[in-house]
Amino acid sequence: MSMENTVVALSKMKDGQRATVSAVEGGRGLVEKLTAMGIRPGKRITRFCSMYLRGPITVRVDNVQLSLGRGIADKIFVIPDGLTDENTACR
Amino acid sequence: MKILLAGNPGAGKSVLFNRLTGSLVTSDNFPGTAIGFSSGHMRVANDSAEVIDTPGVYSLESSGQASEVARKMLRYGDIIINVVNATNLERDLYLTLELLEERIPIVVALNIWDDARHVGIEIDLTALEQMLGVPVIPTVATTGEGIKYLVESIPRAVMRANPAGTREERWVRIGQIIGQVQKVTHRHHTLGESLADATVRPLPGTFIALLVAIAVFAFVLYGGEAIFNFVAQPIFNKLWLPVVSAISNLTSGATFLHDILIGRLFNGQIDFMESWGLLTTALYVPFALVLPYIITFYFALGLLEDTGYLPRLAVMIDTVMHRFGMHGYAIIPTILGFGCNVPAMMATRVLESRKERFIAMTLIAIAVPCASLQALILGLVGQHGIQYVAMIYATLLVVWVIIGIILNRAVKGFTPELLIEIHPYRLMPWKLMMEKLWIRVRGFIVEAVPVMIIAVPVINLLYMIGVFQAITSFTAPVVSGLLGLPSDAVAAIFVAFFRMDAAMALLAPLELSAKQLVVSSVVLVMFFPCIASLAVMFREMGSWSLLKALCIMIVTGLTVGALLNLLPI
Repeated sequence: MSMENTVVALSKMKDGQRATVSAVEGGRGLVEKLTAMGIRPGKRITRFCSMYLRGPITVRVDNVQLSLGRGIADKIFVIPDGLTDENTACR
Repeated sequence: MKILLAGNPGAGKSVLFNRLTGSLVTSDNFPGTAIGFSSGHMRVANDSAEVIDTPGVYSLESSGQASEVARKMLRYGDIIINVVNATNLERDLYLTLELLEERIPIVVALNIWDDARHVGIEIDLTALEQMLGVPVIPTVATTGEGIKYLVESIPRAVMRANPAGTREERWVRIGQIIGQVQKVTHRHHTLGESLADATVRPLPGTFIALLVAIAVFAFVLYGGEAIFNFVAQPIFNKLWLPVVSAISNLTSGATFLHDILIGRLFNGQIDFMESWGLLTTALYVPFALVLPYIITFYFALGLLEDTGYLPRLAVMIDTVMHRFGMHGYAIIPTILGFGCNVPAMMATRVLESRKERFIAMTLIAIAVPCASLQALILGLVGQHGIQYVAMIYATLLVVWVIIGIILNRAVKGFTPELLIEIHPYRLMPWKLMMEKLWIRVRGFIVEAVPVMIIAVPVINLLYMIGVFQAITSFTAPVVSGLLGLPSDAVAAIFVAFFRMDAAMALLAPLELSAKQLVVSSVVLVMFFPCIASLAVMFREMGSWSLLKALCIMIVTGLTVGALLNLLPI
């Protein structure tokens, strides 16, 4: 029942969970923009926090912190690695 | 020689620009609003060089206005200083590799070098220089560290003109470079970072956002009041009043000259607010009433911009803004609008879709009063009690929400989702913050004061020849019947087209009741934009959309004014 090694959308991850980006599925413009901002396959990503009422999700990639809408998070697919970051639990 | 600064958003280009040129240029912290560019001059090896700050972009190939502008500007440069954020080396190198493919000499400024050490990143400078083949100079733009070496290295810039690579090839190359030059050591979260994180977490973040809003409002309000009471008012009453009184006595024989320079006397006394002369009201309104609030507002705004808080606010408010057909970033132009609607309209360029921009601009024009208008509202309405001022703001907020919801349903088009980078908090050097404040204050003085100086005698003349009296008879049914204002108040609505503050000042001699002041303030804010906002709206949205926006404004202004008139205030 562990989520390990299964691909899920970033929007389905829990706050504080870590993962590796496996794919970004969107229009060319979105993929390019996300790649340039630091989200591309192979990168380690931490879902840091999310706003109420399906608000934006804030993630961390390296030292970059990005906030993205749910619709975008639906298009980013990741493989969670079962680790959580004690610093990034969303309180 | 033309030197271009190029780099990712948040790499510190604008601060570096300030360091190199020492020039007074606004460098807004949030990416995108500076789609135009700033240029200045510096000395390189005893020669004068022009420095041009290009918009921050992640890649030259990405779509969007900023990349387009950056690509175009590359053609005009002789040398590029590529500003790279040392804490985000891997990502920032993508733009560097793109730039190295251009036929132009490059120097890399490895900026935010101090933070890289703090977050546990070690970069082998010699190896990086070798692998890139261009000089790499570590800098800390905010403190000025390394700037001297950067300037000295400009003549050593190298043109690589690498063969154009594909996206994959560039990322592979970056992987190789990072593997060789960068070491990251694990490090625990500091208290400062935990506090910084709290501002994007839902619960503490919302709380902090409210606190910030209250603090900013209180600071602008009481700070402005303090400057008025302790600086502006004494200067006008103790120093300027004797001068204009003397002029008044000298010109008392020449009625026309006296009317233009000094204006009317009340019991033989000059009233700075109501005399309506060139040397009295035309100077008193902008310098004594408005300027104090311009100073406090732009000081607070500068602090919010430069520390990097605003993008966090955009995250907090994103869900709310989507109800109005915009994403959270639209809050930034909206806040700018409380200073002046003109830069606010231009700042809506950061919003991607036409729908968003139309809604944002219309809402700013309808429900966001500029600092000049607010200063007069505070001065005039505040005399009757702060509850009336609160009533005006509450009405504007309700209108903002209702019109926002309606426009979201009615305007065709799409609302893109939020996608922004949240840069770490930074403390700007005081000198830079003060320079930025001065540019904005100077902007107010050179743009607003001349208009007042022209408007006051012109309005005076129009009164003398009886133009307003002629209009009054036409408009009385609306102004008096619908809005419950004295028919003379129509002059204010016309004058508002030129200066909102002058319009409010025109209301001063009318002896309006508190309720009438509330109605007229709200109508002035909502009814029609001033000519400067109108011009920029025309340029930004085109004539057809502008016509629609104006209809919305006029209808809403009159409706809300009439409704307020019916309320038992």
